[in-house]
Amino acid sequence: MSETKTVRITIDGRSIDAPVGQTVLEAARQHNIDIPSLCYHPGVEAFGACRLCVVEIRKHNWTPDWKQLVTSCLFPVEEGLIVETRSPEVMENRKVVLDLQLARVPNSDVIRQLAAEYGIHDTSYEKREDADDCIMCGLCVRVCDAIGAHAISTLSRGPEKYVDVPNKDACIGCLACALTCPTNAIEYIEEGNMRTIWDKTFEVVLDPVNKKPIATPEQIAHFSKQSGLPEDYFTKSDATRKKETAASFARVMFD
Amino acid sequence: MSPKSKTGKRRDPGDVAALEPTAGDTGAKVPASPSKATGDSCDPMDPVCICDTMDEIFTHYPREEASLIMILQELQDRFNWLPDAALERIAEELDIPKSRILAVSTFYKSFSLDPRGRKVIKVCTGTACHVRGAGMLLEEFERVLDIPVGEGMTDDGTFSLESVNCVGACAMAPAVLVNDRYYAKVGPGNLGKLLTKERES
Amino acid sequence: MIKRPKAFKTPKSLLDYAEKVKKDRDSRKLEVRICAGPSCVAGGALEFRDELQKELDAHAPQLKKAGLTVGTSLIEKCTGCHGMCEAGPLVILEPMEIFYTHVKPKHAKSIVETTLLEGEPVKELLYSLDFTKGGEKAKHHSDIPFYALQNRIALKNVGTIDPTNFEDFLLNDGFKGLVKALTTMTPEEVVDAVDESGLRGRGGAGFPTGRKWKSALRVKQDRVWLVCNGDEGDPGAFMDRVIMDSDPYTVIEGMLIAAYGLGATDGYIYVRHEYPLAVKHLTMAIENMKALGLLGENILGSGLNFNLKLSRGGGAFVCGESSALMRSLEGKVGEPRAKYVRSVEKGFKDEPTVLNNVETYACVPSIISRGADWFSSMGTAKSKGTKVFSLVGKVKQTGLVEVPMGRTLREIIYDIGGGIIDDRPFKAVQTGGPSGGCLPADKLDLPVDFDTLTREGAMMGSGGMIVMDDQTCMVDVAKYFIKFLSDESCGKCVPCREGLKQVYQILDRITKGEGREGDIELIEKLCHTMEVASLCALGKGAPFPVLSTLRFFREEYEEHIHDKFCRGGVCKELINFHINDSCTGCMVCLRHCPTEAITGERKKLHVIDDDKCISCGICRNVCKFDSVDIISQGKIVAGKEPAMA
Repeated sequence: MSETKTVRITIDGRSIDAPVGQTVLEAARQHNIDIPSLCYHPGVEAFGACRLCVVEIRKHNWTPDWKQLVTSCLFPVEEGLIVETRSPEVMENRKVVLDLQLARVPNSDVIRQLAAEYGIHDTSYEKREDADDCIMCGLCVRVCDAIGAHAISTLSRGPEKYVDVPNKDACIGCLACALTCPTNAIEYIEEGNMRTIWDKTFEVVLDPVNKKPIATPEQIAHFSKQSGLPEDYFTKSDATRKKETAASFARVMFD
Repeated sequence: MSPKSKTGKRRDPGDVAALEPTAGDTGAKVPASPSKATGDSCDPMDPVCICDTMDEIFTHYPREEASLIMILQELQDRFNWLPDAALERIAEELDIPKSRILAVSTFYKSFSLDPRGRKVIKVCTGTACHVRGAGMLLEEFERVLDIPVGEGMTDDGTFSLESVNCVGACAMAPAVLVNDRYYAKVGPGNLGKLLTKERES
Repeated sequence: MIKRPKAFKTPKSLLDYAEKVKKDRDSRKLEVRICAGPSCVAGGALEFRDELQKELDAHAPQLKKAGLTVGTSLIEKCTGCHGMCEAGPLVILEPMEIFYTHVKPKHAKSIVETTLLEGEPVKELLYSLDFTKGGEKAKHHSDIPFYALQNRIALKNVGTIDPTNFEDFLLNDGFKGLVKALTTMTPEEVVDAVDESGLRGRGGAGFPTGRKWKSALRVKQDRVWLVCNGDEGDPGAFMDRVIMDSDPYTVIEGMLIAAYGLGATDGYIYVRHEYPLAVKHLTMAIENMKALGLLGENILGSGLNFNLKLSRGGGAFVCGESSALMRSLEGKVGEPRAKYVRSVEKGFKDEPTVLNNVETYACVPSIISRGADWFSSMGTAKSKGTKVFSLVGKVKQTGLVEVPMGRTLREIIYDIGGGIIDDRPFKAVQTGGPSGGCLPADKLDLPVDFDTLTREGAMMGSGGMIVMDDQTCMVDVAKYFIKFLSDESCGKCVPCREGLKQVYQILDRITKGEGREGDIELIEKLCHTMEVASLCALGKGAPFPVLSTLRFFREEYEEHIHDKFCRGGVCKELINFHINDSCTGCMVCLRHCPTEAITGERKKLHVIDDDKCISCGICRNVCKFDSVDIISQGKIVAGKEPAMA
């Protein structure tokens, strides 16, 4: 086994060894340096859409006054990189971005709270009419793709772009989209053994012992097909088996 | 006689509407050619029509994701819109999720998921056309045809109206494209004539 | 009769054939070139061609007596765009250098009888040097400044050859560059030559082509993709369309030379879907070349393998951006990616890809055949060679012009373009497309190259030049570009998607007279974030039309906000229309008015009812007597005479 190569970078004055291939955001988070983000999720490919994780970089061979804003969730670490996560330029950018998001989703508690942390209590811009809470981060689309259902898509483009499930048949009712949505914009209802999401209602298989929902039959069939495990593997209540199930879920989801 | 004059003479490099592409004079077959939406294409609501059309289109392209946009273009050329049954078939043949096909067909401006008129009027709103009055022209088209830009078609099914961000005919601004025919320096004064000509042809 | 070989197996066989064709063509006495570009076709060029053929048939005996046999010594052909679209339909007669403008089918007879049979020009069709009917006529096309001041390299065959005719291309040094590269140069020497020529990407960014190619050579991979960007999206620029329409073989020759230099075996030409003729001609050229052994395996026996396909875009400006273009080629939504890994390393299908623009490839054959020194002897210190500009808007002679870099804006607009329509005052020239800027009159003497215009907050970009006169509102122009970009934004990242929407809303309220204190500052702040924090070049460049108009025309923004005044007479909510005393009472405006706001009787002054008027401007557009004035805040802002000096 070959040893992982590392590079030395500086984030906010702290010297850090980061493995080659890591992004600036991953390196920072690993060392408990906070960089805010909305569209990043460790389980899926980085996207670079929310622009909150933008940081300032300098390189050792650049002239001292030269710096650049880059997307930390996409920018790979390299030897000698100097990163500032809270420079005036970075903070200014975050404020404008959050101000814009607040105009887009004025009713979202998550965004209101985040904006308030940057001193923005009301947007400078025109609020979107009939606004839902979707910030177009694309996480639901990427998560749904990673699961292999490919039910969710962005449609149209530009300011008109929106997220939808254009093909309801493809949705397996797994809730992965709703649970990863950073602004809780995807609504679902769960009552007894019925679950409704994206205007589609599913029957849910309940745990034979504690009667809590396990999965929808569609979901079970999908994972069974992907993993090669028998369907009943996913419906057993046994605690050990549940752990195994979780492990297979993870494998299927993130492989 | 020079080797080329015979064929060269008959060729119409400018007349896009009238001429199907040929492979010049080598006799080679042109596989993928943008054919025109014509009156004699079959009824897209008929499953047999969709099936035949798609069979024909698939003979020109490898079954891979990279072919998707070209296939959609071919389909759009045939019917002026993308019938859902055809999209289902594409999803199946190329093994691409339907949601992805819909993402592509709503992202690119040349596709329509709704039926459109036999003739699509594209009013150029590029910069050169804009400074020469394309905005006024577009509004006048909306008024005369009584349809909004980008939606639906005239009651008789003849026209749909679209704006397009530059057709590359900037020197003849304001320019209008009806299917593939260019019109130069269109204004409220000669718009009626354009519509009459197109209605009749 | 010369028989074309089924396929060309060696460079010599191609050269020999070219030589034979040349000899045969030398017997020609006369060539009638009919421009079949879209503008001329829209004006009736093809109807003229049909009429001409009839006349030639009808006069065949007389013509024969004069030594002109149709098909051999007299050739009539359709070419691509001649460039001077304003004066179309155009017909050129060679070698007499006769240049006919505004040619109608009815002129076919007099052209045959007067010019072909008697050798005299048809005077009414000659180009008028001062743009008036009775003015001095240009006897030869080289007398016309529009052509005389140009230096055509990328456009070398445009307008002279029949783009569908392989032999026509061969005759004009076709494949000379390719043969020279394959027979006398190593791949490294080809890349070096392009590097030394100083050629920079013509698509807009101006990245040195040679440096791009060299960095691709350093990437060690089995396969390199070669892609030609024909997704010309900048509104107001159409040189790539004209090159693809009118000279498809040169573009492919440029790609073949690049393929040889870079060891690329597969390539794509990505063409905008709005360009059907380009698609048609390129498809035709590709198929021809495949059949002739000029594409595919072992080209000309040199060992070079290159497979070329054409891909049509779907209608998205953002796909001109390289990473979005690659996604589109892959059959995906054209969303750009952050470019921390360059496309020469990971492009199409995540494999190394070299992407160049149409005009860039079109320059390559000449650079190889005539040498890097020749190319770099033209232009400025850092911008070598020539550049094609599309000169459009409120300029007298619209069309495509190719000049060495470093010519001033004034030379291009006034000397070549003939100045502003109706000799109105010049207000601005917009260069560089939606990421470019607007330059005012005091910048007219700037030399045009990549770096100078960028320094002034505009950019040369792909070469669009939209000339604006005093009847243009600069706030409206900024709003126009923001609307354009908002329509074309992919919608992925926040500063671009939400920022453009908000900038548009602010500009919209300013143009409606509802601008607020602080709006300009709000726009500036937002523009700054868009510029530094957007994901791709579309978003990063989006603020420039706003920032450059704010820089040079800030007072217009302030007038809109504070005085509700639009000096360009464009913003509907701030203007009224008024009919002046010169009205002849012809009733034309009255008939065209969509809201019946105009009243009046024949031969009596008409009147506009402001309450009914929707400021659509149709009355002014259809009036032949310049009798409709535009008024803002009580001032005539657009009337018969130039409103402001």
